[in-house]
Amino acid sequence: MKALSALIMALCVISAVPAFGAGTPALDTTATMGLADKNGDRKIDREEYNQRMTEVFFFADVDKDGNLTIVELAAVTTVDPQAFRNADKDGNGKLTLGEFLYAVHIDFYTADANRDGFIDMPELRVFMGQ
Amino acid sequence: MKTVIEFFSSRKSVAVILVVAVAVAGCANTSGGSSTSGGSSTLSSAENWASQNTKAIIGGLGGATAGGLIGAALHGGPLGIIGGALAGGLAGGAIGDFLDGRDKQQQQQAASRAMETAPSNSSVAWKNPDSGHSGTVTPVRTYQNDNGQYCREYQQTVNIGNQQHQAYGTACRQPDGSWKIVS
Repeated sequence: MKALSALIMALCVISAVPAFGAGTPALDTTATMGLADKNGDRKIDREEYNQRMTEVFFFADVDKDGNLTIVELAAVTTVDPQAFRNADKDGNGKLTLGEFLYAVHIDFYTADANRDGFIDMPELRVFMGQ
Repeated sequence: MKTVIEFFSSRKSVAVILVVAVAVAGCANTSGGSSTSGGSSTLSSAENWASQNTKAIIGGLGGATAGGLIGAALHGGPLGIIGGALAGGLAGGAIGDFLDGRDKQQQQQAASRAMETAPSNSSVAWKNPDSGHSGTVTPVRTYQNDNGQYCREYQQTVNIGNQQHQAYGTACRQPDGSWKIVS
């Protein structure tokens, strides 16, 4: 039964992941900045980042049960199953909002190259590979 | 401590999610125009709108996965109930006295779309051509409360004649998919 569940999960993830990479348009840093930058200073601070990620969590949580499964997450981005398990601190197969924010918090740290507590446009461009 | 690369196999992951949300925002803004022509019930109008806009979004993004997210967001709850649950609060008080049934219906549809599909700071507009009244509903912040419920703070405007009325509030998503105004 466990093996079957794992297979179903793997199929779900495999079927969901390639579609996004194949059809995703060029990323627009201006639009991305606009969504997160609430005070209009052309920088994303930690609070703005957390608010944006909370909203991402809300939209990705399709069944609105307050948690993200790997299938829900795979529907919007490429997911490394092992990384998902690492983020799933209590091991229940779902990410709480807290677990999710902790995991993506590392993204902020990585993007904020000069460690000033903000992601500015040049840093965002580098982070997004543009 | 995990790195970005360890959590998502692509460092563009967050950006990709945000771009998906851009599409949702566009969808929300588009709805304002379409809602003005709706004359059927709240639920059927919302379903028609969702169907039309989901196709447009999928076409624009060219990705079935993106469509899955957005489609689920649009179809994920009983939209009619959401609108109905919000109606009292959104159209209440002195403003509500000036709105007719069609105004409130349009407002309900806009509220449904805003709460379920609009990113923060993206407005969903409504307009009743018969009365000339119009307005917007704009979520401004999303969070989970202590009970794990999703809550969204929102701002709304209602234009009656030459006057614009503004109000703020917070609604939380109930287990049945409806949104209850809590402040």
